[in-house]
Amino acid sequence: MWLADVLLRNRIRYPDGVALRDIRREVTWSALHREVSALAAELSSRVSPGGRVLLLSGNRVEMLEAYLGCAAAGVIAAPVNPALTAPEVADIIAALRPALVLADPAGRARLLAEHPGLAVLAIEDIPALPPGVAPPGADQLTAPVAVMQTSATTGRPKGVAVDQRGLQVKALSFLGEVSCGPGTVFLDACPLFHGSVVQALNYLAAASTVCMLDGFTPRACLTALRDWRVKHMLAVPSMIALMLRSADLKTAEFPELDLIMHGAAPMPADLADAARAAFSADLMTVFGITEGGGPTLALRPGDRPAGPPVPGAACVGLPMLGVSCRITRDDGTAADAGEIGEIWVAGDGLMQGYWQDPEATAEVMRDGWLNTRDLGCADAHGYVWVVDRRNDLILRGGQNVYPAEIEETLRQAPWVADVAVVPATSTTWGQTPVAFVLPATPGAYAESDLLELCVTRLASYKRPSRFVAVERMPRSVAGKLLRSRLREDAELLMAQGERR
Amino acid sequence: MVDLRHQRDYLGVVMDDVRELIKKQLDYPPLLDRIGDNEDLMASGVNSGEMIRIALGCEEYLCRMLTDAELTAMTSVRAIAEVLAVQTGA
Repeated sequence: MWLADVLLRNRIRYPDGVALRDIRREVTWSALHREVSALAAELSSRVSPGGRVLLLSGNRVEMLEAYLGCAAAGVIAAPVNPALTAPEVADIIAALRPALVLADPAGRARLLAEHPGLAVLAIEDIPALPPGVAPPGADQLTAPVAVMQTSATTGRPKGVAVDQRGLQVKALSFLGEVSCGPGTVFLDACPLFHGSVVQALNYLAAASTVCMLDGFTPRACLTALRDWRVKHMLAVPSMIALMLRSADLKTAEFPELDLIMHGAAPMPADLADAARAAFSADLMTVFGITEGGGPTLALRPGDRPAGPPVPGAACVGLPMLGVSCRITRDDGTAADAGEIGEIWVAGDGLMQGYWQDPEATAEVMRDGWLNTRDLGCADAHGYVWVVDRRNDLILRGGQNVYPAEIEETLRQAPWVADVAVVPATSTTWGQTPVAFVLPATPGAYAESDLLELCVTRLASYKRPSRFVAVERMPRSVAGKLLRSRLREDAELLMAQGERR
Repeated sequence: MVDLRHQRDYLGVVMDDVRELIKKQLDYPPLLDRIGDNEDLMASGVNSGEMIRIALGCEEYLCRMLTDAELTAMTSVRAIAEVLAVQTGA
């Protein structure tokens, strides 16, 4: 099937070419094929077809080998953000009931303490596995190959099930947009548990070299760009902002770098200009959504959209090959050019659905179309512009933060009567959460309680930047919470303080 | 490593400065008030993005790039103080 075919084809054509690279080692196509086959054999012997294999590891070449090995074995890779807290990981384990965990040393230490009964395989031991091959026919094009984690408006994690057909469509679509091949060195500066891992798989399909950082720091990224002679890079705007602030940039040169792809959050125009000047590279906007299977719309360097049709809108370009896009009014009819509506996308690259959650799937998928929950419009030339999120998603430094998840956590404080979390603008992260809290009785407010709940129950990137005690929540006459009013208040409060 | 027994007074001043420097890089500055000088910052709730900003803040304070060893060592308030104290000759 798709991923196994990519691997075989590139092993035959470029056996000594470098497929993967991190700070520990580089892996040729020949070695990658051997190691993935051995892993697939090991997985087949320990996990039933369709069983879940949790990936709990930081970035390393073996993470990509794990995705490929799971695909070859016909089992489902389920990556988990290592920054999640114990309760968050426990929720995912309860939902997926994994048969095996592939974990790095830090992940194994956690599992030993939090889930000692789970079967574990050391991810760094993949290269040492005995030679083997997966049973013929184990992998299927339309069976789930990965379950990516996303939060939701309910505050509970959801798994996004994707199949190899979707990955195949995404790769072919991407290769129609970006020129890359065996000579291209691609640096994925993003975490590999994230949906953006699809970009790494796209470059593998092109027989390019995929490089990864153990973790993003400006120095690590700048060093990799230089030493690995990177030609294309994927980053989020926050990463680019931090690199521009780094003293390392002043002495660095990247003669090979010619394309920086950015996504996951809007790129401010001044930051884009600074990045082009500092890196002497083109910028390409990639609009992706985990439920959409990855990259969905793209604004290529040569695209020249006119000014925003509405103030503050960000252009995300045109649908990629194989993707259809429409903007609809609330009644489902097509919006006119310049008219703001919901952005829907369709194509064979979409998710299969939320993992074992048909109701949630039905809420966002209809007749083959996915509601991105983004609000936007198309201009007169057909370019798509994003204006806002309808479901209050907060894009903090490229990571999705859902207000409902934070609100549910803060409600655990016994004195909290009501709570609402909204985004506010952040200079570094793009957006950051601000929590408005209504105490049950006047004087009961204790910010330290709220902080304690966040530190112990939420991943640190979800922690609000500010807690605000209020005497009442703004509500409409019908009792509906007026989040837009709170967003205005949050912006005002952040403007009064130092934006970070 | 700085010999803390002989640097108590000096580090007392530096520690306040260091805490201020760190707080400026946190999204929610009061978080630092619940973290002891020797506690691991990330284990106490400081996220990886904030750690990057702390390192950049230290570089701006020192007017030089930090070495890889210094970056690796900066895991607690005291460890950061030691990096800054070494630079200033404490």
